[in-house]
Amino acid sequence: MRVQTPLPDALTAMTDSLIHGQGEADMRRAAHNAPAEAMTYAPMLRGMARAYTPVEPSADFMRDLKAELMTGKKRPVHVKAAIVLPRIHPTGWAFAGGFATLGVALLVLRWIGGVFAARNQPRPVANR
Amino acid sequence: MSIFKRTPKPVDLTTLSDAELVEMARTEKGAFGELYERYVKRIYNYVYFRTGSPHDAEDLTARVFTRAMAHIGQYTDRGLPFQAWLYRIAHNLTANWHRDQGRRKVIPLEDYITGELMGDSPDHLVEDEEELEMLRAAVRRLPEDRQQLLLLKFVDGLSNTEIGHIMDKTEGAIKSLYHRTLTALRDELQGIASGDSDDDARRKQR
Repeated sequence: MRVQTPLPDALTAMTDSLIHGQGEADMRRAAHNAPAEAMTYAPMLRGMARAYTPVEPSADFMRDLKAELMTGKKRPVHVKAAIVLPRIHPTGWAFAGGFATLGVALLVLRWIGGVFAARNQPRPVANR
Repeated sequence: MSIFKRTPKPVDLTTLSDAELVEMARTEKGAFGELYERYVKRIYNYVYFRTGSPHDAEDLTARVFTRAMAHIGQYTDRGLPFQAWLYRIAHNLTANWHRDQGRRKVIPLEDYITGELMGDSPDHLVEDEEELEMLRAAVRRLPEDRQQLLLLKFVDGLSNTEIGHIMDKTEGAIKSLYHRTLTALRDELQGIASGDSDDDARRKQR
């Protein structure tokens, strides 16, 4: 009599063979002695393997971070800015833009006011 | 008596084990550099899939290694391999990051109603990015320990024993948790496919 592999063992074996083996064929081999239910997980496992395909961090990032760790020097400001700036919420940018525009407008108004005030000042009467 | 002063042969760090490198790293930064080379991509991947943002992944990866280097003197291998220690730091920093964010991106389930993930024929294989994103969204709705387990399994390709070291559980407990996690995920996806409400899907997950 064939001894069935318990489902939890089969799922682990199927996943490991899918990730580390030759893929589909190995996964099916791993599920060979498992309950029929094991194969109902197969599409999801394939999807997971594709959804979580490892990504590569940028070479610049890895080099800069290693240099920072080895020398103790901090990463350049522009590198940190590249990390921080995208995190700022659009509302934050809108507020910052609004305040900047208001500030410039006030400065312009003050300058115009200064020009008018200077023009309207009574001129000193010349000595006769 | 030797008249020539012998210079010590430089050690090839790539041939050393993690434990040997950790010992050396307490006094020599170069050894930590080798550990960094071994694990930076894995840690980056782990953090990237936990946060979903390359910028945050870079920031958190930097923090993981900075913290590890600062505390390497306090690390002792009491059955906890260096790799597991590093992942625990990454896990804690990512958990703090989620807490600071105070919000999780919630994707309405009805946007992703599809049954294709559950089919078994080649026609039903997960084909496009939208479906993969649906799967990732379903994973993000799982409890944190289950998300951690899936990422360590699929992204980092770790064995149940290695994951057990990181999550402080036995190999058997990880195997069982993995089974329960896949079942919950499958049920959730079936729920989405059959048009269950978001609440129903969550209730099943618990």
